[in-house]
Amino acid sequence: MAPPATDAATTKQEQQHAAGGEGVEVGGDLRLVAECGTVVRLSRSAARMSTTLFDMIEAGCAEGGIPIKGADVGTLRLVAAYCEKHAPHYDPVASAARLRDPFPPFPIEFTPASYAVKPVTQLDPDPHGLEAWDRKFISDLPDNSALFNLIIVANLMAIEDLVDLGCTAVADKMRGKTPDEIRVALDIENDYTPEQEAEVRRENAWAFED
Amino acid sequence: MDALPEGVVQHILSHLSNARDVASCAAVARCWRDCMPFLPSLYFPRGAFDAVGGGPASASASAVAAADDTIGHMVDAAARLEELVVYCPFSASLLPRWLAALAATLRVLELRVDSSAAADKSGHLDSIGVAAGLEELRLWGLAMTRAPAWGRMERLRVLEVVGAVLEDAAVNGAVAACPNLTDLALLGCECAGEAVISLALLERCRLDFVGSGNCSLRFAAPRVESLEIQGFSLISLQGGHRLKHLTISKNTGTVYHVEMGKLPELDQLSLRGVQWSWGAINSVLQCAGEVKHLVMKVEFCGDYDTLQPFPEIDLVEFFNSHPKLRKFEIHGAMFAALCQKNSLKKLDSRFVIPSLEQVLVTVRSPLNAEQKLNTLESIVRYSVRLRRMVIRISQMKNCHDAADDFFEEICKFTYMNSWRVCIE
Repeated sequence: MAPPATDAATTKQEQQHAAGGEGVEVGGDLRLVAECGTVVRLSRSAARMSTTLFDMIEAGCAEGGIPIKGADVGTLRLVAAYCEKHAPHYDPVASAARLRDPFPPFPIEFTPASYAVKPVTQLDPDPHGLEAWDRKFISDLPDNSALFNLIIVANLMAIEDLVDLGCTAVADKMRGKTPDEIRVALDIENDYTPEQEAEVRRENAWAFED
Repeated sequence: MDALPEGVVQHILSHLSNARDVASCAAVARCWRDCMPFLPSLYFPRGAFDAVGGGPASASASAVAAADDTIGHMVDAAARLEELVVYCPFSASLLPRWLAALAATLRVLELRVDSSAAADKSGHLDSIGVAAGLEELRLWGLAMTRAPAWGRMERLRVLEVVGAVLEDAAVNGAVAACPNLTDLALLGCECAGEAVISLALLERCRLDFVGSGNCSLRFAAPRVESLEIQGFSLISLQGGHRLKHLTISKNTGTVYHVEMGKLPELDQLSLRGVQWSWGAINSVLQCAGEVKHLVMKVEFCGDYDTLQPFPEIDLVEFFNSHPKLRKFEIHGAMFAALCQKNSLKKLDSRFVIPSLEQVLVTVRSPLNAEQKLNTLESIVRYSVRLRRMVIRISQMKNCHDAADDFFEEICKFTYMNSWRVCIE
């Protein structure tokens, strides 16, 4: 199987293959092609969650196979599962608002901060059970590489919510740990020279006292 | 993890704000340390420097010095810090320097000021005005004797002060300096005198003023939707057209006078306190004709220092003037005053309590048992939608025969209406 083209647009070869082979109807599921050539299907509504795919659909070049460079089948399937689960409740505006924006414009109508003075009525914090699903999704990942691969592919496909979910999971593995424990938990190489490390430790001595 | 692009690593590290975690991450690898200046948020927990001070006792000098040092160092290194939260003891005199360094990017500031120390920190807190982009400000343990010199904090939306000793001039000055607030909370604030709050964009407000003096409130907020106030004897509310939730309490002392306009959007109203003048209660109830959920927990009436029971309240008139009432919680004193005033004897047969679904009645004394039972029966009979009535009699005061008889009558009443009424 020929390696996928370097740009996201389909090659003529793949278009012919697709048209001749499975007779995919225009407007149906997208076909994402993993590094090894296996196809993972993704519904159009789920594909909206990926800015990359969304732009491709709008531009009309999402027919045929879409190669996702560097993505293995397992990770691609996980990404597809996440998108399919979240697609029915996806709100791009709310999603964008959650991302950090260092200099928000000065609005007249300002949405209340999450921990501002609370009104009397309390809304259900997880009305669709998505947060519980996300927690299980992350905890079901077998190891750190699976998590890192997930983040890399989500980043490639510009699925902001999934990137954020993955990054939060990694950050959670660092909380409350000493530098050594963090290195072990996430398999990180220590690139400090002994002198540099000593200096850093001295600067932050208060954090290491126990 | 090396395969992750730098932007992603930075995103991951941005999720950490606890200063201890930040310090640990800085020591993990050189490339991580380079990400530190771009962190958006820093949080110094209460006991962060206790170990240095030799134990979690109150702010020891070495713990404060260590905090000052570390906070200063991290603030200087930060290139775009948006949120700074400091709960550990620190030297307020350094605040102007830190805020000057963060002025361009800081959006959220939360400080445990703890002015229990003798020194008045008002002067240092003036420097908060330097952070022109500040959107949320929270201060704990504040003492302010004069209005802060903040200039005009145009971007500030949320102001919360908890546990403070304030002169009323300080309250009024602070609020006036933040004309665009949408959320205001002054809780556990010792203050006397007159608070004047006039905010065009305010939507949610909680004021809890403690202290022995007589406090008054002049409040004008055309957009306010939720308002909870405690501790004011004289209240003037302007602009309740959007008000949905209103709670007025006074834990000690008396509410003498309440002035407000009609509240057309009111869903929930709660009046609580030891003593309210009847005029005050009446003016609130008259403005709350649309209310759906009403909690009345006032123990006594009376305009002066003598505590008096409620004057008689005609049941028919009351329910006719609050036709949308769905949930009603009524405590001893007002319940005792509710009666037919003979109006039910010559009752229009079309009298109905149209919306009432749930009632919670607290009965404190067995006096006037017959009248009380009549009231309960009337409520049940005329409420076409009543689903549930709960009668709380657990705190009844008298322990002689009248109480026993009354209890028996209540039980009989409950039994006859067992599908809707129950006792707690």
